[in-house]
Amino acid sequence: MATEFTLNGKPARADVDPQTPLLWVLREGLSLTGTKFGCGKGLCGACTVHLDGTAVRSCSLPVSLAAGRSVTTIEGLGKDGGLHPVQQAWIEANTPQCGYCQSGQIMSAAALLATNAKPADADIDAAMSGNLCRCGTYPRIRRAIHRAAELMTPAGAVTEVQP
Amino acid sequence: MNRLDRRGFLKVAGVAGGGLVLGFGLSGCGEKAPWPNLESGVLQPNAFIQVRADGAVVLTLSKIEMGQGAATGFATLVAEELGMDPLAIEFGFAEPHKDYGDPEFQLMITGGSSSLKGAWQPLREAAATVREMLLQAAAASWNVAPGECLAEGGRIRLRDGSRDAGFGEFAVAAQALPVPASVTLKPASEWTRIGKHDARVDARAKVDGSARFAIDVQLPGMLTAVLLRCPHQGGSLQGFDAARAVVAPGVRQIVACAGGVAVIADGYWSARSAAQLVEVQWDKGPLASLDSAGIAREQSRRLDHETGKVVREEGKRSATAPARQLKAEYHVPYLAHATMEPMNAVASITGDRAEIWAGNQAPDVLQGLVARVLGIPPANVTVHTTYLGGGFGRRLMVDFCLEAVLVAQAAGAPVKLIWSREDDTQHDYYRPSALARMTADIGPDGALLSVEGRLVAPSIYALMMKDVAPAMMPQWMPAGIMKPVAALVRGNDPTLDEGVSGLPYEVPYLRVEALEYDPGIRVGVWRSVGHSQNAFFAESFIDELAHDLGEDPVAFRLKRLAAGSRHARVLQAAADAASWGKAGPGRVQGVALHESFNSVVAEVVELSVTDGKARIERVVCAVDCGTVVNPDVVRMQVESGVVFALSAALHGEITVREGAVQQDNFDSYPLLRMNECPVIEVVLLSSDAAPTGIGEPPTPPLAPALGNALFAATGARQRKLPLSLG
Ligand code: FES
Ligand code: FES
Repeated sequence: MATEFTLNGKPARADVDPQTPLLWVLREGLSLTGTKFGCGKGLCGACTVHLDGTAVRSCSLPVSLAAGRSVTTIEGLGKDGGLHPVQQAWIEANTPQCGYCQSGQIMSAAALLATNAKPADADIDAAMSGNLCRCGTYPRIRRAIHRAAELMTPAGAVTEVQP
Repeated sequence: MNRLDRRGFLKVAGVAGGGLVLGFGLSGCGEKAPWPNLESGVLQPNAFIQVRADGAVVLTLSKIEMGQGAATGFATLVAEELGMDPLAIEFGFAEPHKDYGDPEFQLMITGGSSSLKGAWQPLREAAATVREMLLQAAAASWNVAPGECLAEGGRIRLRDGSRDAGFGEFAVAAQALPVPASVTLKPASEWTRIGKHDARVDARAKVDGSARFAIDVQLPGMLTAVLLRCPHQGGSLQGFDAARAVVAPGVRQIVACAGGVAVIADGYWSARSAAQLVEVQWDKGPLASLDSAGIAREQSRRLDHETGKVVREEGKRSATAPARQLKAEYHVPYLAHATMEPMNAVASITGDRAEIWAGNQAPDVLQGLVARVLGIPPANVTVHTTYLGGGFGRRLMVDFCLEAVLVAQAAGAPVKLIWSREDDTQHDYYRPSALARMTADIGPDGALLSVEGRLVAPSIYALMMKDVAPAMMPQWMPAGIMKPVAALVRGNDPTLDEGVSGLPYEVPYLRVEALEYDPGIRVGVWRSVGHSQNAFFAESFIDELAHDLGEDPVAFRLKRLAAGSRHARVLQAAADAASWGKAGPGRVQGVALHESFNSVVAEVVELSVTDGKARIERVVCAVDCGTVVNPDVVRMQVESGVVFALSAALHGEITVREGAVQQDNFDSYPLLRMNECPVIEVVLLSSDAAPTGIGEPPTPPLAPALGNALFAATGARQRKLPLSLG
């Protein structure tokens, strides 16, 4: 049975068992391999994508639940092939090491910033603690999220400079 | 004493391989490149650097990139000599060839925090060679003396600024020139990139999802497999019933393979779902009655009743009887690597040729082992190394790649074998569990008379020798021949005691004795290897001694280090940066100092305590790792090593029951999360010595510094890892 949904702004279709986790539909069926497999149990966040703008763990989301909804992956985060401010901030802060967790980290951070334009450290803890990084990039992720918040502040708005 | 250091061990491995000769041969240019990973370039006077006709500079990395930043470091060295932006260099990972062997190991091993150290001289020379050839060609074309030209800003220029052109313009002419016999490297005073360049060359690909890991490789007609393995170490497959599983959707084949049961399907989800329907009977094997409590009992018993090898003895035992003794016993558990990317590999076999894609830390070892498994010449095995989603030593072992090869052979099609997180946690090569008894004699006047350590742990090298070395042996030699070689290594393995035997402090008498006990659980190298446990033993005990003698832990150490020595300067730098002795209100500190992989690191952990529960507020690290090539990449590695060590110090514990590992996913084997991560401050000491290790040295001092801080905060000494924050 086919599931239809919107993927990075374009119509997509998955002809698989509706129980198949979205992660494997993306990676194997649709060849979008930027979304990663880390634990398969919602414990690491490597597989994080946006479902109607909200961060979800695609390893634990049956593709049927994406029917009729909009899915965004790391490949579709930036507009028109450019980088999203979160991705830019990530590069500025020299964040990735092995890089394996980073798609998931970036998707979680982008979802946080979409609802909280200027997150405090506690907000970052709350939003990001579901994303593991074995390489220990947490201090950089924190810095990059603050920096992305700056980059995303509309020009002309009053901003406080991060210490 | 005929002990093997890491270099010695790998030399044995190299010799077993019929003598892999270190090649930094400057072979001729122009013809087809002799290196398997290179398309024919225009100018390619060595295995590392190629200039294409379009002017692109292509760097072949002899080391893998697992997050440690080797790609950025190597690009920076090359860019310095070529006068260009490191980010403008194209790079790829070398396929096996002797010219890519590590100068020390003589194998393409990425480990031992050796990458920059090994590349420091040869890679700059390789780049300077390319530069000199381009300059000569430019000078000839412009009719000027070579000294009038220079390479800067990614172009060849006349010094007077009147003329410039891209590298590509001279590549063809340069290829016809003889390779210079010697080249002059840029002096440190002229460096504009070394010591300054920070931006990682792999950052862009790692933020847009395009970085390719082995798990991302797709081949036409490829199937996906999972393998059911015996959970009991050393156990074996007795039988299985796949009647229900084989009819599940997407399943192609279920077959006994690689010691387990392979479920081969169209995709991972089909394979994994079907695997749950396979009923398997395992023979629990020889370790069926082994558990963690039994291992700990046996470690104790050995130290009670057996003597080991004295690996360091210095100074003189005091003639006067000690007034008293300080004794302490420390214990550490097995640990898993838990790389974020679970083990996986893609294999494709056609006739007598094999191709394999894998994130691995030893491409030539992998090539040799695949050849041996399939009974084909190593030259018929192509190894494609991808980015690694973490290594930390785990991917030096290539068991998962060999599984993929065997499953692909059984399937008769290209196969991607993917381990689940559970597989990954339960079938690791673990950091060994170890036990230490430390003793100090104190004289009647309160003087420290001696420090003695007695350690028990398994030999990591013996196991590696058994599993890795057959890759390097001629194929007519049976793999069983490695048994006696492994026995040789046994009893000569520095990983048992490194970090205690290297105690840097001056004491009147020092004695370290190491006993080997191998319970049978597979062990391997885990970021910083023996130092990971031995720094905890040594630096916890030194701290106990300082407190016992009523001395400040920093002053106690400094007093026993040569003034102005590397160790003393690093310790002082950490103490200064942390305002040691003047911690803010409600803050408590602990310190540790440790040398590993030729680098010295001191760490101060600062805690706050609320309602009897400690919180780690900040970790201050001072590091001497020789010349720093990319300062921010070094800082990243320090942060990384600290977080890695914090995961272990607070949460890490692999336990065994009936010979099976009991943890399986991140709920039972937790890693540090964002909300637990302290502020990490890094001080880099300036140095003009050649670069030394950085991937591993920041890890060992963390656990003792934390334990020492917890003692300062609570008055209770914790001598077992993991530690409790209360
Ligand atoms: S793979 Fe989905 S949370 Fe880990
Ligand atoms: S960058 Fe390696 S796991 Fe996060």
